[in-house]
Amino acid sequence: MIHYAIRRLLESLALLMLITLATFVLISSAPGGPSILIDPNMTPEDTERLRAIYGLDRPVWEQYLRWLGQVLQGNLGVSLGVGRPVGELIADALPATLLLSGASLLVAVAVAIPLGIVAAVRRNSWIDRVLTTVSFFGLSLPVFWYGLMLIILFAVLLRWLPAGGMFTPGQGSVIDVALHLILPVIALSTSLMAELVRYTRSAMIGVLRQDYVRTARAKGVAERAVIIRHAFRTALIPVVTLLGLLVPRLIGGAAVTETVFTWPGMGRLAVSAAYNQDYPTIMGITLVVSVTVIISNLIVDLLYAKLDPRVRYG
Amino acid sequence: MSATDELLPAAPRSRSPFARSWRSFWRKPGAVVSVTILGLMIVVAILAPWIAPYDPARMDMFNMLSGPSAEHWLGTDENGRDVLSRLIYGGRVSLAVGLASVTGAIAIGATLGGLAGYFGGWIDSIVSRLIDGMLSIPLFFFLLTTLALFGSSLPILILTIAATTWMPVARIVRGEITAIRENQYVEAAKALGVGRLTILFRHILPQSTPSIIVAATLGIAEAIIVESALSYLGFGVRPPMPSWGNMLADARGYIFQTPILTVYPGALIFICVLAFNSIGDALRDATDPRK
Repeated sequence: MIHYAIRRLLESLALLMLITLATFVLISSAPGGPSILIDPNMTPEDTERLRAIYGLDRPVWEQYLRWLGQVLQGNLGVSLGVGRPVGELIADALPATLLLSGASLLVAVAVAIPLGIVAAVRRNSWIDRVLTTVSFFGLSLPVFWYGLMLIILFAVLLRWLPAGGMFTPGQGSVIDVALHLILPVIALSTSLMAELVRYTRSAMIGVLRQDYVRTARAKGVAERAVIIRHAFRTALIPVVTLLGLLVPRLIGGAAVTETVFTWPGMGRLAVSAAYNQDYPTIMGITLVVSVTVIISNLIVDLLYAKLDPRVRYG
Repeated sequence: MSATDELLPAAPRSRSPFARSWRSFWRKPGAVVSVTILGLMIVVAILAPWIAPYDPARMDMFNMLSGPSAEHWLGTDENGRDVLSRLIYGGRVSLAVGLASVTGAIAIGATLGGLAGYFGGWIDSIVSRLIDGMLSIPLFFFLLTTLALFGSSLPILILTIAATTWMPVARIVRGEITAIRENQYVEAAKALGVGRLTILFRHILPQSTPSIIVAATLGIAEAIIVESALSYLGFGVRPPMPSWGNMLADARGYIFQTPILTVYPGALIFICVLAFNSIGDALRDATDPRK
């Protein structure tokens, strides 16, 4: 177990290096190189001086090593767009994104897994057909359009919920944030839910066919216990694997959802950083998002080992 | 049953696997409806210059955000441009970008997956690591960065979408090739002295065509969603060229006056993606030899 954990950690670090290096090279190879605050009054000499200050006149590998060295000291650099430290910008935005994606994941799991089980147990019934069809539609919904439709219906026409933002200016009580959270969470969790329902259903159908489930039934174990304790425990293993695969999509989806609902998170920060070609912020976001995803993948792997008695990491 | 019966060739009535898949595909109502809808969309997209009632870029400052009328069936947008014409031309762009991106994704995915599956060894471990690595990170930020830095001309948009969506194809092809390369005819081709790359591209890869078609159909759906999300955010297809995604972005500013303008382009994206997904699903079921 320890060996496995260490190996995974090293692999994760290597992946992290690769991702940041690739992004760095990408930025440096852009036409004209990374731009710096373009002020029409700047003379070419000024631009050169600025480039020298930011180290942009050095070779790419040297720039990358310098960036890496700074990061290891906890310094992500200064945003070229707003002039604030990137670390601060991310510290402001990350909690909002974690709240939105965490809540969406929880809602999706809480709703989809029971529905998936029901669909599998009542296979080919009307409820199964409805769930299968609805989740198929859910998979094809573009989140940005779906989000807009939710805003138009619930915020513009019915006026039940706020159209965007994370809280009413001047307020910010828990209830206020929760009200602002409802629509974005519905928007973001729907496609996850759709995927989870389909997957849980097929995993459960596979397990319910197994001999040991028949044995449990034959022994006279109550149906509810057969489904929950015997079948679902096994079906949960592939579902957890799927959850791990869904995390990157969750984060990407969160970025789009945040833009639709003007939610002040990493996605919106990324969009504005990309607009401004603000490369220190882009690098910082790439790093933090990758770390978040790698950690969640590690958690999924460890969960996996805990759930499946056959998995023994050597 | 006599011995000669067993030696006779299979009865001519028995159908080829292709014919069986073909029939099973057309038995699915969802697939038939989807093919019809998409066929219609594609015809309209190709014939756009003849079908669209107006030039999609023609502005009319005296007739902005007007509702449906006899002249403008779906009304006009914030610049007085005809919404129906823009939807028709926008569909052209969205479908073309989707198709082109998927073609690119298949070229990359089938090549890498084929090489990994056929040669195994270190090539396989590098490709497999690359697939796993790329599937485990949110590529959305990578897309934004690339398009922001390199500009979002159509070729760059198509290339970046292809470069971030090839992994499922590669994974499928790799799996199939690993199984196919053990066949005896591969052995025979080797014995005849056929080059290894020729064997791979001429004799083995074509065997996985059905799976590639399934992956491609689902891939177009994905590519259309990615393109419209990027266009919605302002990093994809740039105005004045209409795409369903950037029309939605424009309409967003007027959700209080004319919310209906946000409904059309999004509904078309949804229907289009749904149709590709349902065709992909039906094809997968139809070509699955276990069924």
